[in-house]
Amino acid sequence: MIGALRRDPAWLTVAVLCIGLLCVFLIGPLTGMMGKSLVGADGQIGLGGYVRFFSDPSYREVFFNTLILGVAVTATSMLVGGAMAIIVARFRFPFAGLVTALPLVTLVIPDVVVAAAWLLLLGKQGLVNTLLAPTGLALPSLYSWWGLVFVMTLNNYVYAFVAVLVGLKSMDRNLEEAACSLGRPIGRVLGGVTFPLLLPSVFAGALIVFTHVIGSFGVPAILGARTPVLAVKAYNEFVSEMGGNPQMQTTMASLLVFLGAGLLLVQKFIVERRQFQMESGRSPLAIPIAGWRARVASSAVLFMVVLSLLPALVVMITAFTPSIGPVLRYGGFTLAHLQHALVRAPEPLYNSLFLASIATLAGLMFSVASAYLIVKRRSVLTHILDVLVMLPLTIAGTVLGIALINAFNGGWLVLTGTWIIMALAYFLRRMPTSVRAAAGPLHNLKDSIEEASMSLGVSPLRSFTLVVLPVITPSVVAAAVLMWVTTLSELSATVVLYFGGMNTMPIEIFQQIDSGRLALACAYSLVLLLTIFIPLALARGLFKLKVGTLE
Amino acid sequence: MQVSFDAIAQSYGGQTLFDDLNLNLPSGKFFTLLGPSGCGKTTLLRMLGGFVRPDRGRILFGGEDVTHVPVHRRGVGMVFQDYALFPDRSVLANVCYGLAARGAPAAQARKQAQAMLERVGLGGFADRAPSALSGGQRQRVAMARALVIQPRLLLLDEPLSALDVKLRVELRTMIRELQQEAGITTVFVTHDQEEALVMSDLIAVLDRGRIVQIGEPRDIYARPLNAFAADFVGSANLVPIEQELSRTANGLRRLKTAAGIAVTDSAVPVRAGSQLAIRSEEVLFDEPGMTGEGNIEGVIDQVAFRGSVTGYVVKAGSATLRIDVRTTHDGAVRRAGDPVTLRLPRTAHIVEAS
Repeated sequence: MIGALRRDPAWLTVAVLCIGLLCVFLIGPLTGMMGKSLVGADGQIGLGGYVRFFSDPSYREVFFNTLILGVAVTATSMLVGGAMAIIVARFRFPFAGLVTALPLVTLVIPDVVVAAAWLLLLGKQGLVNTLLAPTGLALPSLYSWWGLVFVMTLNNYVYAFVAVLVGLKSMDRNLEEAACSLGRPIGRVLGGVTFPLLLPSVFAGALIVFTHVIGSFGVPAILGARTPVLAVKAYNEFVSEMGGNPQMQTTMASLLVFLGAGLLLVQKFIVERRQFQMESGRSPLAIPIAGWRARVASSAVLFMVVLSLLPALVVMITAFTPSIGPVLRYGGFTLAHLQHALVRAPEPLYNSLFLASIATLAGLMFSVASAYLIVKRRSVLTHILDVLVMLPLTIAGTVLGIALINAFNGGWLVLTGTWIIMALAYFLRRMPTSVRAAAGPLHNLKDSIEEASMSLGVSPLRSFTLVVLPVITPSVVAAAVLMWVTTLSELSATVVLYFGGMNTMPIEIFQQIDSGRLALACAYSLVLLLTIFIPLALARGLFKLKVGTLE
Repeated sequence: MQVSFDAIAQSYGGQTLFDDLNLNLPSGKFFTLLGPSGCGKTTLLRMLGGFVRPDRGRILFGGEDVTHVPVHRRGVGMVFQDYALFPDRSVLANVCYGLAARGAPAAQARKQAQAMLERVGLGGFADRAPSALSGGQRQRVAMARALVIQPRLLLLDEPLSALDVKLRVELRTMIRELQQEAGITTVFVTHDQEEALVMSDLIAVLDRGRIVQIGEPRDIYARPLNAFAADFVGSANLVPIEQELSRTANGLRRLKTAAGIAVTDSAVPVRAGSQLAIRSEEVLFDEPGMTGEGNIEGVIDQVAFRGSVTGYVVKAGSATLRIDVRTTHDGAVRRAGDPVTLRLPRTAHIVEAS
């Protein structure tokens, strides 16, 4: 059970602490929530909630909407992202290098800002419709399936792109050469050798996108009035049923947990089984192309990069555009909105910075310790820790919020209505990425370095700080920056957990959009973009850290 | 300091590696654990270091039971196969590391470390980063780092196997010198029999968790106890003995083997499965047709010219013998298919099946 930790009481204590922490603050709330979904209004225990969910058409519709949206966005994202990955990995053409900026762009522009920007461009009173008005033409409404799929694809295709690109780059060139040397035509080599090897990456990318989409809150909440999905519906039930019967909200949240857990199992038992170990690191060469092929490839890449960057531009312009009520006067210039966001009501900024910093600090310490335990102190205990640590990746923010608020609004620990519960949710949601980041260099660090230190008379914990920590510091700091900026844009858990006086930036933006004050929303968005971009740029430029890079 | 394994038992995932293993390492000796991978030599070394705790049994350092003493309180110096230098520290800082952990004043630690670096021939490299050194230099730094703390036991975990042949020869001489200067009990783990023979005071040959033989290098080479030891140390030809015949006129034993009739001065009794271990370099080509004691007839099967030595594979009787002969340039060249007369050595040793 405790394996090598037997020799090591200090690290055993840390492992038990880490697992205990996750049991109390993650497993406890989740099981508690699932338990509540089994308790009816009359106190009867049973599957009543689930029966009602699937027999009531208005609930059933929500379930299928979620699945349809998940499948549709996953398909379009894989198509766009996968195609881009293939042309960038296998061909050389002008502007191909621009794609390296894409992960950064996705990090910097939060989902809700993207939604706001496209509303401004393609919405009912949007720029395009205003231009089209004299002709009598009008775009189909953005508050629809196509609007949802369009915006969410733009928010998610980069994940598919990165997954497929990594798969393509780790491909062994020798395999294709070997297949060709055996007399196969290149077309059949690509189909028969390359594609099957690429499938695990394709699945992995699709799973990431699907999980994101079914758990996402901001975009469906803004654009999906006619197409309610689980995360939004659970939130609405939560808001309207506070103090009432919590069965339906916990039922829907639990359904999302089951969906996520099911995907995790698919990933573990089908995708990972099919993972192949590549022998050499010689990735296939990119073939230079020219002429019309190069022009098509270049314009496709340019188009996607521009489309991804457009929201930032729209937000920047709109933030300085005078408005009368919801009507925007483009061409004008005003600092009123920014003044509002920075001087008159800057609390959301302070709150966001405060919460992100606390959560990052806690996440940093926790991830370094648990990454070390998982990589360097293998045992059943740390394996459990490994599974627990990755669990939040499959849990939608809204669900986590509902679970936490149900668990800590009474009993031995009351956190509801405090900033602590918000920081806790951020910590839980973003910690898995940091654990992965810290685990990377630990895998490459030879055990003997630490053993050398111990044999020279330095205790295990001091050996860790003296010789292990310096080696992983760059990755850990990069992970901290990443955790900090992604926490700044967290919306789906916040929307459940925030309370009066504790508005964060994304909440403020969400509310301003909701009440039609798009210019103000853009002003806050601009401030948020800069708050995320500046530390990222500093980390990358000044400290040469790998944050939001393709590697 | 004498070091002992006392009734050690250890299993991994249900597989028993050691079952009641006992071993005494005499004080001040260079003791080598020799065996193929998987024989348990590294596990024994790591038990001494404190990185592996035995399921049962005790580890004794000079009578003191250290089985439950953690690594950092054992006072052992260890040198690793992959050097394990701290990459973010200079050479001098690496050597100072253990002294600082012992609370030595910085100035004194630096002086001691510098002296140790001079001793291993790296006096001018104190400020370099480990990454700026060659493999051989890195291992010298690792030696200096392990010795400067004056450990009561020095553990060497295949320290030479990552180096190329020339450096290996150079470094093993230095390691041996340093060990003898310090008079420190040393345990050396290797699978390289030549290294073991050159460097050791004593060798323990290990086979699948069992100690096959303990002895001085010459002894193990000349009188291996079983077929495994004979083959692993010095790669002998192992020829099945079919029957013991009457002694020769001058009192040597005569054996009917699969290769023909051989004579030996070995005193080991012949049992079922006994084999005759014949060192490849001790077999000679004799005049064709000679029929003295120890002469057998054979046919050359393969020839491998290796420079100073030529290797032959000879079919004799139902056996196949590997023979290494000093290359000469005056005699006739022997080719595959040539019939030859061989003279087997009297020093061929009777070993038990392993």
